[in-house]
Amino acid sequence: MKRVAVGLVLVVAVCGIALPRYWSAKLWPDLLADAAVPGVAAIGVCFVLACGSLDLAVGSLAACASLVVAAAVGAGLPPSVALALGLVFGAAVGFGMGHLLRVTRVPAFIGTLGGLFALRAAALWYAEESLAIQSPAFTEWSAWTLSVGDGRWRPAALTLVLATAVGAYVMHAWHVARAAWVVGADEQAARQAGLDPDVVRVRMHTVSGLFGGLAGTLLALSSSAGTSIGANGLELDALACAVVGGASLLGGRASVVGAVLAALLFAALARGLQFAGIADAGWGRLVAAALLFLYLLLDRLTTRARAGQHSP
Amino acid sequence: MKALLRAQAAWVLCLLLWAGNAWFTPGFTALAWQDGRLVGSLPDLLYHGSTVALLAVCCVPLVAAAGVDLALGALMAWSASVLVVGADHWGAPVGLVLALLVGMCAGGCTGLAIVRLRVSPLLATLVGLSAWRGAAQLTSGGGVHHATEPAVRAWGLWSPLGLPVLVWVTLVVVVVMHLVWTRTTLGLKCTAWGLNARATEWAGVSLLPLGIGIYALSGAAAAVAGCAQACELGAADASNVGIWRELDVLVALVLGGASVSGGRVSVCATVGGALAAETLVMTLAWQGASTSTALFVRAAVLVGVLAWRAAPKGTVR
Repeated sequence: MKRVAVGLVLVVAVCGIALPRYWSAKLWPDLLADAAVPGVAAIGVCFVLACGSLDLAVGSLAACASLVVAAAVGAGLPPSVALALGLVFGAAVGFGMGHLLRVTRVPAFIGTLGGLFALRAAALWYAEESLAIQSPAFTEWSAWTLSVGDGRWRPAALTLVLATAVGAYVMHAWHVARAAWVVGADEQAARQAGLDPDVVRVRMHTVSGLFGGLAGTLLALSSSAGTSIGANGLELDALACAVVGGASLLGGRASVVGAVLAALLFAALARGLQFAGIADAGWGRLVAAALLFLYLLLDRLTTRARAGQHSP
Repeated sequence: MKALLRAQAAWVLCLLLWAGNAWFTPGFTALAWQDGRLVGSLPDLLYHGSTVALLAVCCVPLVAAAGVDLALGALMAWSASVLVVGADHWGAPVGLVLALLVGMCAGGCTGLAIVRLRVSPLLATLVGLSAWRGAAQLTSGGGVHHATEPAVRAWGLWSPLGLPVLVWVTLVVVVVMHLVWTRTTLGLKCTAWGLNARATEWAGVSLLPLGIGIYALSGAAAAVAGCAQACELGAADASNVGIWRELDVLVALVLGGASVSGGRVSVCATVGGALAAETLVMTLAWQGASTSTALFVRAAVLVGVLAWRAAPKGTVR
């Protein structure tokens, strides 16, 4: 987590010095808004990674949740209920997927990969491309901003801050989340200590689904539409954020604040590229991949130096 | 006989689906000769199935080694872009060589990262997925790049004995891979790696060249598949070439009886799996199902087959 914070400060400082107009009152509200969707999804991914499982279906789940919100508003429900429905949908799908993994004993990565494709198919089946939300009440919600000084904080930015605080607190304070750490670190030990790893994993998948649903509602809120092709590759961004933030794919190690800082780091880099006049999607992908690779390299080198040997 | 049927269940499934289609769908088995090419559902199946079979067969070693390659589709897109852009600049043969080199090097780098940095294959190929797709978009300048070199389109139309050249390439690759897999120690080494990496290393198998080699092989296969698609269309679409291909390959491997956590894989059954998966997709298309339904069914088959196999013996199956 310290490493990500240093990286974020470095990137912002370098971009601020090298690029005129990068540093402004708008910078942090905009960075938080940009990082909101991957950041929120990454918080959920942290919970599943902590228990040694994996969730590759977040992107498709977010797309489905945004469609649920759009459909609910279209059916005449007030915006608050529609947004809550998006969250409930996410949690329900997460629970279903966790339960399916538990019953079928399919490895998490392939089971949730199946979920990725199945949910995307469901979204495409429901709407060809997107479902516009035409409701004055909903538009009011999505256009709302909080002005602090010169900065204007959009709902997505505030939600990210709130979700980070709640996520970080829950990760350490909720006894089930603490059990997830034990399960992720050593399943056998967890069983000996009287924990049921299966139950813990189902609960963590539910939490991940909830945050995936939240990411979907943020998508719907920011674009005033439900999308069936959007959030493509969100699961990878979320996983990258979680890993750069200090999570291990082997379980037992995850940091909510680190993951959100990593999402901010990626957003700051993307914004830097944009201000430097390179708005190409190709460069964005390459830079993100290079950053993740660099992190893995650094992680490997420091781990080896610390352990002083060739550890697995 | 029973053991053979169980091992090659994918072929049986393929034949059953085929027979069902021939029986129930009028006009399914019709064949015609058009512009020097065989047209109909069988050559269609062979063409689409050969893309999946080529990728899946070249993924056999890395799946046996408990690996996975999620970057196949993105690498297909990058090599397709390299072929089309390279053909514009230096002629089609140079473009083809460049595309194959790009595929092998990209795959080799993934293998290097997996063995040397001990990154999990999942994470390493996720990095690759993002990087290669980005590289594809940069190479072709974003969007669709049409080939101006006539040779590219001519390769796409070239069909010896009425079948597209990709089918013949795949046939050769499958036969060679089957021989290599069953007659050399490659299969043994990869399977051992998948079962216990550290023990394999201590037994004297050097994982570095093996890892680079098997991931370069899958990269080369992705390059061939991407080039074939670019030639067929006469253009490279950096954002859409090879999309959902990883799913097809996984379905083919799983239908062929592969264990996703390493160990047992068979080349022959994997080809059966690829053909069965494509027959399934074709059946759905002939019944008028949409692409999203086909996507859903493939995902369900993937999870369903694994769940069925993971169910403990003696319980209700």
